[in-house]
Amino acid sequence: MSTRIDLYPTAEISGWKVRPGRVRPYGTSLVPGGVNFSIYSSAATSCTLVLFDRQSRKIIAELLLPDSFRIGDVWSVVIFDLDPESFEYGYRMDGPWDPAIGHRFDASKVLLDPYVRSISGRDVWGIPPDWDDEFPYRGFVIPEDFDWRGDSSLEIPSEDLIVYEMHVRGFTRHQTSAIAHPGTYAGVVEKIPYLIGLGVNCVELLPVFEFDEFELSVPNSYTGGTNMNYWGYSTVGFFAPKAGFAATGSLGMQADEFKSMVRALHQAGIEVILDVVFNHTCEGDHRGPTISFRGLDNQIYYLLTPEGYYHNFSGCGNSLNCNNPVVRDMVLECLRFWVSEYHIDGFRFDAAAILGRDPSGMIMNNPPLLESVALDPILKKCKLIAEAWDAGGLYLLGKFPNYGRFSEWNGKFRDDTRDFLRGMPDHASLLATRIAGSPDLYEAGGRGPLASINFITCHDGFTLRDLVSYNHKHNDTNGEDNRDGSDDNRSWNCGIEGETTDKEICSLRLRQIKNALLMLMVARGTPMLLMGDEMGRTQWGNNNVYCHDNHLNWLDWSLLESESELFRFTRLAISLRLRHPALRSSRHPRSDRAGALGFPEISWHGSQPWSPDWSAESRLVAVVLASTTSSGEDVIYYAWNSSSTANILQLPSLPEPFYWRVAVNTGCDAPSDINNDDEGPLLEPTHSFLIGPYSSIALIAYRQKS
Amino acid sequence: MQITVSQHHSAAIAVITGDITHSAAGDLQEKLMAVLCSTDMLVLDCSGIGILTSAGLRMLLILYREAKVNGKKIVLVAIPESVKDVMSVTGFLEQFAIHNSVDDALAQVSKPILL
Repeated sequence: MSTRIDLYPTAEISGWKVRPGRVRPYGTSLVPGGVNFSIYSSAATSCTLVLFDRQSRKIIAELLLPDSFRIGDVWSVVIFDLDPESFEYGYRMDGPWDPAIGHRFDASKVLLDPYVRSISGRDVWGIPPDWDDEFPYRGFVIPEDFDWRGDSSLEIPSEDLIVYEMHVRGFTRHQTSAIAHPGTYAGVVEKIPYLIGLGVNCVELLPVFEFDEFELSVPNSYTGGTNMNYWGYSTVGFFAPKAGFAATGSLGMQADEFKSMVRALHQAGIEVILDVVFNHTCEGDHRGPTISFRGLDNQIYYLLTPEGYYHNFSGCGNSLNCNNPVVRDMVLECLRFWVSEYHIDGFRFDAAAILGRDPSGMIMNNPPLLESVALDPILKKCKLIAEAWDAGGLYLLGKFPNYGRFSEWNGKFRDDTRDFLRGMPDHASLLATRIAGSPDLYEAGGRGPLASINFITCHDGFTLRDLVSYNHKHNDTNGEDNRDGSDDNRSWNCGIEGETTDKEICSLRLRQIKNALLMLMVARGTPMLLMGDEMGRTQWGNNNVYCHDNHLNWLDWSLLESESELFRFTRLAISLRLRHPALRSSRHPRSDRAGALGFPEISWHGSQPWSPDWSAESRLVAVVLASTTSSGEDVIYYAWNSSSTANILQLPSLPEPFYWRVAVNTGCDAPSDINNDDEGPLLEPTHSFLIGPYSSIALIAYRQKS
Repeated sequence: MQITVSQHHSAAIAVITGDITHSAAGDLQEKLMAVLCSTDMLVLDCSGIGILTSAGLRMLLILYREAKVNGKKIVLVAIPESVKDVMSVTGFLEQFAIHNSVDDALAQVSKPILL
């Protein structure tokens, strides 16, 4: 016998036993005997819950909710005796069609619940959809009862983090991955030993919220095939994991599989950061499909022009109205959900500048959404990373409203390191600034170097191998006559455009890649490595591979063998960083604060010690980073020569009984290019060091045992 | 979905055939709970299971936990590879005691249980 009177139905609608539901939480929740549904719309005149049979995909019921089931702007209902595995659902909202004032209601459409936890329709990646299906995406209810067995977020300090930016499918889809579940969350788990071996302790996943890989299905005139929405920066459902990334997507168990992946990564000491896209939705502009938000409450969810068209600050047709209180709540609730339900460790906010715009599109001084996210108790320990610009021209690098919490993808780090790397004049002091953790951007705001996510390459643009192999983008395969993608690549092909067998050029390219990796691992801040850069992944000069589900995006694991020298270098460069506290402080280093062994925290050098050359034509930067911790003194000398000639460096002297030990010299052939701490050659006290053209070195102060 | 139960010394062996979906799970759970009342160990022969859905998996895990709370033991045997694979990638597999065959499971019973 039931112990509560609200476990009994009070009414019947369309043959289903129901009672008024609970307005919170939004979305669906399993309640004893049934399912609770709750949906918001400020301007709809009626709300009809539509139930589909999951197998036949036919509509089995339409429940027009009476006014007594509405509180404020929220309709809710409990439906009894509903088998959660046998139905899918959506809503019909009636209301005005008046685009000029922002209303685009259309009761002929069945809409997705914005809070839906699982979505069917694209269950298995790449299976051609039924284009005639009027309601291709449907929600279904899943139990949220995963047993985490002691797992919790890792809370690795940002200074100790090594981020690996990767695409779930691209990571293991290539046949050379040789695993049981290629291209899936389960596949990521199978490759955890690889990630451990590499030494990264955080994966940043390109979008994993449900998206439609067929959204950009336009004929590609170049390939003769069809483009795909491969990257997934176009969200269908913010609370639903991408089913097509799950080996069990056809069974609707993507949530369990995703959680299992997170748990396994955590057990391996690897954090999970999600790349989240709150700046726009998959509904495009006024010509786009009505899938959810447009039909639920267009004027609330989107930034609209005075004429009722869509502001396009995202470059994707629409912009989410992030600082409207309702939308703000949704975003905040979404982040809390992924942290609490999926144990996610952090977020990277795509085109995050939009999150600081007001309903008219103007930048706000104190954007309430960002403040709420920054100070939310549930999100308090997770990493928040902003891509501090948007496609509408708002560029907030160094001044993103951060409330002491948001770090930023440091685009200037990318640009300046690339320019120095290719030998541009006027870049010695800029490189120095980036190595020091970009105090020019972050010191005045009191933010420290951890505000900087340092990266040289990311999914957007060239891979590291292509950065040293191409002067220009080669995007013809995208089918847009090479018009798409950035022209600002700051790359250098080392002599020949594209792949070559010329030994000298290949050797220079490999050296340049090593130089770049070392820069990334030495610089203060949090380094981010792009998937595959550790094994020379190429996109054959394409710097905008968003639309390809093929070898342009899939990691070819056979590179691990052919590029074993590069992999070894990357692995040891990561290890070098993790073993040296002088590289990982959470403060900007200062030249007027004592470091260790008589060196300040940071000191700059040149051909002669203590004499840096900041002139326009200087292509040499040498730095000593020094710190004293409980484990002792840590002093590391690092020099970079991006000129075409060698240079003799007089080294700063060390007090007895310390000697410089060579950790890295990219001018040497492997395995002398990088040594384990205790394996490199010791230098004589008065030693001078020949640094080769386009080479970098790292020396460790080593205590000679008596 | 069908279930046949036989007794082997102190263990009951239940052979399940067919699909375990949400609609079958409730009924199956009731029947297996009844079997659990009169035995210390229940061996679930899964060789005849076709599809095991999310609800079916959860039912089994609830049953498993229920047995544990009551000092009893459930062992899953002969899980078809396709089902095992789903259980593995969704994190369910490692939560159960698994054996390859009924004989393997029964051999374990005769050994003293180390606590």
